[in-house]
Amino acid sequence: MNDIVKLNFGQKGLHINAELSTGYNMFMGDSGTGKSCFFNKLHSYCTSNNIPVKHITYNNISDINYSDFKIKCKESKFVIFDNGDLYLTQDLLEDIISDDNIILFSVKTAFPYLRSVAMRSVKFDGCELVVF
Amino acid sequence: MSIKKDGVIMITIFDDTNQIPEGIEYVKFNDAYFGYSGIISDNEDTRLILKTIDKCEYNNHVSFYNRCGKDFGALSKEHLSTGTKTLLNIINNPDKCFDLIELGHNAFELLAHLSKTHDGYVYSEAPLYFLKSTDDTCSFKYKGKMYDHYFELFDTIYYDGDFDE
Repeated sequence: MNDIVKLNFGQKGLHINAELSTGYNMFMGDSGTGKSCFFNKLHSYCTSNNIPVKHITYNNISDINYSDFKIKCKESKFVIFDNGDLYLTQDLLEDIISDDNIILFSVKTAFPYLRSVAMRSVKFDGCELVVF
Repeated sequence: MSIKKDGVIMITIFDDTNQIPEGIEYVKFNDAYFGYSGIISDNEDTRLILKTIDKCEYNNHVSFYNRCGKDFGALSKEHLSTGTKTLLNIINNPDKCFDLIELGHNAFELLAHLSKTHDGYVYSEAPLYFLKSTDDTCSFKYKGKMYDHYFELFDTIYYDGDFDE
């Protein structure tokens, strides 16, 4: 059973209220809903609060040493993959999961064979961003 | 916007990168391309894309006002969604072919609308089942055939697509 983790924080005028699970959190849906915005804010929040986080995008995926990366992801509390359609594989996701890390990834095409995935949505209205 | 030799404005869809004509550059990473070369033009279609997808407003060619309002100041173009960047790439670069892999379903609806007033090239590895049109009209070229009606194109994509034995 995956644990529910609730986050509530503000950054630069934006208030964020998020419910996530340990394990996989998959973000799908329309463009412009606030997925990347949430990932960036979560990364900043973790960095400023000394919470171990890995944030991967199409920009930095090529710089990664895979064996080091797997270890660092397992040691991180949050692992974030944005624009996952460009590089993310099921093997990679299965290699980096630990007992208590929280893996967030945004894709347009789902991974149908990945187990225990929580589907997440973002509602970004005015200065309030909610993840549920 | 430009008009092709045959006088028809359209967006050409490819489902195989080998089909992309020589001389047409294929762009996979829409965010990266927009970061280096993209601009927010001041025109009606750009404002429509900004408003429909990101619920934001044009400020100048490199920044916009986000949904929190103007009180927070303008944000850099980097903060636009990938769907918005992809559509802006398509309409501003009719000589390049942009990958649609990161386009959300809401942006596909706008693509059909934009196909009627912009030339361009797009590539999608997956069948475009999410392609939509608000009024059943479009101007797409797919597998060598022109489509003015969305449902005709959808039939072709659906029945000629990956369901072939």
